[in-house]
Amino acid sequence: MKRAVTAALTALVLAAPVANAWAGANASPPKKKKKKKVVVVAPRTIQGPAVDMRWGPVQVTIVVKGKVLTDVQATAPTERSRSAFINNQAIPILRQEALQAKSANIDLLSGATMTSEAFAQSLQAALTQAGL
Amino acid sequence: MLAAARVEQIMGMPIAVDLRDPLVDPGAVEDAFAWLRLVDATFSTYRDDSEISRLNRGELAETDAGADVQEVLLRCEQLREETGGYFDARAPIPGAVDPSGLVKGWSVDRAARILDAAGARNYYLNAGGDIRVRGCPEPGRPWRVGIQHPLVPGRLAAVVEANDLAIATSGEYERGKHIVNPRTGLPPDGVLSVTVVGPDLGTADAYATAAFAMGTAGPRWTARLRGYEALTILADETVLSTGAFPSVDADSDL
Repeated sequence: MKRAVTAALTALVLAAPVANAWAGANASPPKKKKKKKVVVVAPRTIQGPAVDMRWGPVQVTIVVKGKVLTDVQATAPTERSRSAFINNQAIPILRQEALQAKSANIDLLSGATMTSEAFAQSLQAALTQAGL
Repeated sequence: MLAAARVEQIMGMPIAVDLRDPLVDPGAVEDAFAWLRLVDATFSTYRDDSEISRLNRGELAETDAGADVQEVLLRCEQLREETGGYFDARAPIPGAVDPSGLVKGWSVDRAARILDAAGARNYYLNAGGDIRVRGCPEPGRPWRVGIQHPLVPGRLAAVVEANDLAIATSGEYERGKHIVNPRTGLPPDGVLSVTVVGPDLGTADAYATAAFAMGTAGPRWTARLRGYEALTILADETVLSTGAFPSVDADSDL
């Protein structure tokens, strides 16, 4: 059965970059590589707004060098156990997600978790402010 | 632009609206959130005074329920038939109905129509990772939606580019959503997540839930869907997508 499914569908391997399995009429043409200019700029730090979640506000700070997002940090309340979980577990994960998403030029994520929405919202505001 | 971006906790999840049309009245976003709060008050199984709770206690007859409740229950029944019983609003609570598996997407579709009616053409709505996009994030490019890898936070399984699309992902990594195969009562085996895209978010979400519950039989079922495309990630991290799933090279800009 697995063979039949594979024949009917397109199998892709995750570890490698996801191949374009889409050859339909609406497929976008391949992107041309942008020319890279080398400009030395000082890093800028920009703070997003605090976005309220049920357990308190989440606030994202980004560091930008030119047009490149180089770091993402976030603060969340620490008083309650729920918030402690966010700080200890979720923020490093979300930070990693944000850097990954930005490097892939993602506007938003499907299948995201609870905290990430507030995180993403604060992040988006910071990115917009940074002109990225 | 930022004045019309907002996130609020409704139906137990964060719902974000990001309206990118600078000339559209931001009051439309308020109206969309007011609608979503009304949906929560009407459909929540956690609220004793909701129509669904009253229905389940036998205090309200289905024929006396409001038009929205009747519409949703009818659609749930259609979806149960379309999915061979794998999406079943009567399965989660024995002897009762819990349409929340459809209500999330259905209410976001209606919220999008509120934005449309106000003249909005470029926006997204994101209800806990189930998404409806329209137009462009900025002139000249489509929305790019990452499909989160179910095992590795920070890794994308795929990227979808779209100008007008609903995108729903079901998987066991979603908090608070424990999908079981209604025929066995057990969580599905061999599948990590299912993403379904198409014109209607409520339908896409129900199809994703059903295909996930089917386990390894899900991909074959999704290949027969009309107007909807699916991407399934199996337990061994193999990705199976239907022929016209609108994914692009996730690493094209790295």
